Amino acid sequence: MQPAVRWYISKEGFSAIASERLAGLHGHRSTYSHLDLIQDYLTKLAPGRQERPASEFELVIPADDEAELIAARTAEQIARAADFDQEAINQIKTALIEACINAAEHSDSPDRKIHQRFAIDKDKLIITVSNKGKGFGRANGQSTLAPGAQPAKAARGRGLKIIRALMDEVEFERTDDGARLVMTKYLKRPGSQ
Amino acid sequence: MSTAEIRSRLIENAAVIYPGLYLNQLRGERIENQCQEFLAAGVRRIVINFEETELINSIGISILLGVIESVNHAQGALVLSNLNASNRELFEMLGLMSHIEMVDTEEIALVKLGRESEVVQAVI
Repeated sequence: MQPAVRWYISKEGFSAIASERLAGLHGHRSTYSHLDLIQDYLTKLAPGRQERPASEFELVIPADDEAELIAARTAEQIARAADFDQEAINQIKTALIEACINAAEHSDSPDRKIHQRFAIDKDKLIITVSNKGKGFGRANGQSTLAPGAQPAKAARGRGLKIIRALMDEVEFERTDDGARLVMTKYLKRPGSQ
Repeated sequence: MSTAEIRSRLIENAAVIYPGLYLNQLRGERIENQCQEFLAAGVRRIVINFEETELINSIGISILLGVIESVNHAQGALVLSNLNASNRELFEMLGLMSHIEMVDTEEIALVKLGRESEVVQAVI
């Protein structure tokens, strides 16, 4: 008789010792991020929603100085491959930088990571920026600066305003362990002439 | 990660500052410190040349606004030059065009500051 399969899920993963013990118990290990990925994938496969993104990329950056530049460069390459013009590419880069800065400021996760997903879907690019923490600050109307975070001098609300102005759609979502910002840029704006 | 160094130089008692590739909090603070040094040294005409600047974030802009305020308070003048279309759009989008002086090139900025200096001297 085969032993029961156990699936252990932790907010941020397991230590080496815990992993070794769980392996001895024939247990599978996942984090909340894995669950999010599985959930997203299953949602896309749900009946009535047969379409899947043409291409998806994921990136994880540290919430350190200038790491958001790496994200911007990645977004640039992806947007260029999706035939966005240079003006749109610049707007995407700028919005993504602001999203990363917000995520870094308001994340209270000890791993200080910012997760990004880039999905090219027909005529649009969908960028998801997620962090573990209380949210994206002013996005949800609450001041949720992480302990020890240094609020930027008078940056009040400008970052969010920039994101909303440069991207075609912006949505904030709460996740089990943090928050997610979903930004969409269309190759051609809906209803444009 | 790259260093947060900025460049600057003096041209006939006017200072020109080059923020570099990315104006963020680190470089914004460097610019702020550099401007304070120039002001302390008696320099009252400052140009910030964005020719090399590809990206600006909201924190950099906030610091920049503080720098402009400091320069104005010291009876000086500060002009931004060489902004690319994307960065110019950023200032327009944030409704900041009335708070800043913006010209196309460093040369135009220096001429403008020179003329303003002559006007101030004439008034005095």
